[in-house]
Amino acid sequence: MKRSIKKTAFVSAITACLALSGLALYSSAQNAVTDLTVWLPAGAPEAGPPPADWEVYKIIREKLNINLKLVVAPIGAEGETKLGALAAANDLPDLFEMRNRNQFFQLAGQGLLGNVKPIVKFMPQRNLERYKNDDLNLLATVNGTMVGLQEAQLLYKRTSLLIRQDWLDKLGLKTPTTLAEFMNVAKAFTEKDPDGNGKNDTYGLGINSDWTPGGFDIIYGAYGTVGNWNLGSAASFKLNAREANYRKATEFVNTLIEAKVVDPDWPTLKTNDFRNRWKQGKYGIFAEDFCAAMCSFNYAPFDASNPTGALKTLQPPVGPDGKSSSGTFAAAGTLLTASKKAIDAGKGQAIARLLEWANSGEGYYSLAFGKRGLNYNLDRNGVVTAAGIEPANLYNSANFLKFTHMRNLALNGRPKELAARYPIFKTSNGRTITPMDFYRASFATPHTNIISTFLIKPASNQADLDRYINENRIQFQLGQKPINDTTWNQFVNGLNSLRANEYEATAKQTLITAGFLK
Amino acid sequence: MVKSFGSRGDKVFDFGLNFFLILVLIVTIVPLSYVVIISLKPLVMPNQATPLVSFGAYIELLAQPSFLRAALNSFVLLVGGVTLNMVLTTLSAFALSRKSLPGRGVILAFILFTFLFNAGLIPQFLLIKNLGLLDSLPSVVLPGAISVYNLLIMIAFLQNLPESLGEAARIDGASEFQVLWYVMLPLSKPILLTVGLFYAVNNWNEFFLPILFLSDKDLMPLPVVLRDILSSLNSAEYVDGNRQATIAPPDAIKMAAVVLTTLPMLMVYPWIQSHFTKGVLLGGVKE
Repeated sequence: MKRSIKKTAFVSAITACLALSGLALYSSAQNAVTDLTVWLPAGAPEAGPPPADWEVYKIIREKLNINLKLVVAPIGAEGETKLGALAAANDLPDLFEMRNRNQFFQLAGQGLLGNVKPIVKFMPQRNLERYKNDDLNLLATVNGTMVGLQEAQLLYKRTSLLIRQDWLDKLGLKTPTTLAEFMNVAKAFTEKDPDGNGKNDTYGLGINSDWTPGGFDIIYGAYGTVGNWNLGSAASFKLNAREANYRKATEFVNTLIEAKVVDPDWPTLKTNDFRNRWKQGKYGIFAEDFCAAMCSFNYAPFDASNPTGALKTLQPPVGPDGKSSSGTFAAAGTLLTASKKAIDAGKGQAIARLLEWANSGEGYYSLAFGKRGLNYNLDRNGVVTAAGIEPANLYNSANFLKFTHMRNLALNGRPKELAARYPIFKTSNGRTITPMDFYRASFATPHTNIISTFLIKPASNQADLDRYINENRIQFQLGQKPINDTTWNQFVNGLNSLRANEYEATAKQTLITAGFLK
Repeated sequence: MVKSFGSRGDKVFDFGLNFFLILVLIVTIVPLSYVVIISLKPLVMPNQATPLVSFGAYIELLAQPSFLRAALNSFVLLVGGVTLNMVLTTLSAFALSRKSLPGRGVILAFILFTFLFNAGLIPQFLLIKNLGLLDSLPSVVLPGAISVYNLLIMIAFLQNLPESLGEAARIDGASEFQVLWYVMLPLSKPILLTVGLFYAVNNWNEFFLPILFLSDKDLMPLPVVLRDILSSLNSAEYVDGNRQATIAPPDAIKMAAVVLTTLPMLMVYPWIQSHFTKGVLLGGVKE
């Protein structure tokens, strides 16, 4: 009996020790701090990094058990080179944003990106709000594995035509709806001195050559050939440059140019110069991003030069077949990826915790606007406001920029947020401008969705192909090369000499396989 | 027939030469003056008088919190880099200018090989990483510590100095270092200033290596920060509608950035111009 008691006591003690050890291990695992290196492009490129004692670091450490190391990643080609070097050294950050889709495919192909599908369930709210779009998820799926978290662009279809309503009124013209009316209004804006300064210094149409195809999207849209590809169906899929309507659109552009209603500097006009000119009141019609045109800071120079000027969103002109488009759009926004190394090291859950925290509540406000009472306040509708905040501490002040590098993880594009980011303002003569009204008007105009083309990998001679199409198109548009059957057929046949047909076949197969093309 | 000085032909030649040089001057001056003029462009605001010129762009740049820090980083890179460059290049050039140096041909061949071929970006990155130098300023100056081009110029210059001067010093008991320090270097002022300027310009303008090797934005030099400021101006139009306005037009800020970046080098160049020309010519000629 005594022996049995001893035996039982011994077994119980061992069991208790094991249980306690297990509990301790489990508890330490729960409390273990995960080191996480996060690379994000700068929220404000000119701003330095947040200081080491940034309160957000402390919150993330205490509440999420994450020791966060934020690296403000370089942008552009240099940033891509650096990411390439890190990839070569198998030293990719744990979580990072990718902006170059070709590099994304490349890193995924090299097996350096981790499968993020299993971690999505650890961020239920974010998953529900951001990762339920099948089309977007397809963009982040390579060889059947989800190697990226593709978020939607917060504001898309931002660019549309704007027209000088004050010039229309002054000249007694109606808003143009068809290509013919568009031409007539453009001519009147060019020839009838709409600004009344007695000089022949205005143009009906201003074109930004930094945009493709050469800024005449609306014309190609009216002929149903905007963008590089005809995405109508598997049967019709091809490069738009091959389409008969592409030729008609090019002919119409040539007509506009011959009529001298387009600023003749357009082939070499860069974005800044283009913007300077419409702000000086040189153009009657032009395509522009809604905020680049109608946000207070950007509108001010236009207001100074044209105190009575009034811009209005213009529906793109309708072509002979009833088609119209303000241009192309793709609703794909931030693409977040995790390195395979991080996922293999078990950092997936920590990544999910961080992203979920950033999605709402404390994380959302901390990353997007700072600290309530110090950097922002909320009005009675819950909209972020500057009321009661020292200007130097305000969430959009120069001093705060260094704290904005993670805000793209938080911003969600909801109405309350947009009301704070695109506030209403008054012009010099007291008119009220609501930038978001212009966004909504732009959004409502027809745009052409090209999101599926994000899956198309560039041809090996993509630069040659692009150059060939662009050079020929501009020569045709300018009239340097006459548009007739012979010259046009030469142009179209020349595409095959650059193996465009092989490129089209590969692209078609990619889109069919992904389910984008039927 | 030999033309006498001041003949009609000479005058025509002089006129043509001067005309050509004036054209070159105009081609040089016009872009520079354009940059300065645009940098002084004022911001036109509604209901406000617009001044003729404004230093707003310069104030805007100098007021950026990151600007002064970046300028300091650039200065550190400049001083530290040029010191390292000059010490290593001078010592190497002095040794390699001695024809009696054993294996000189082989060493020069190896050096020349690196002039023609290099390992490329990734191996360089891996090397810096494995040396534990990532995110430190030495990672920016070490890869270019010796420029083969500058080394060859300096070797050629030192070879042109009379060998007898060094021999005389050695007979008087001078060590090799003393020969270099007391005899060769005082005679090498033109080449030292020339090569120093080359290195200074390279270090001051260094853009890519800091991006590649540094992740801490607080360590970034001026060219990188200026690029960031400029790209911020470009993207400001798309970001937030409530972003606080700048006090100068974006074009003016861009041009002011160009002026501020080139100013230090422009200020230094006139002081060493005469030595510079002499140094390049002497270094390039082998008797």
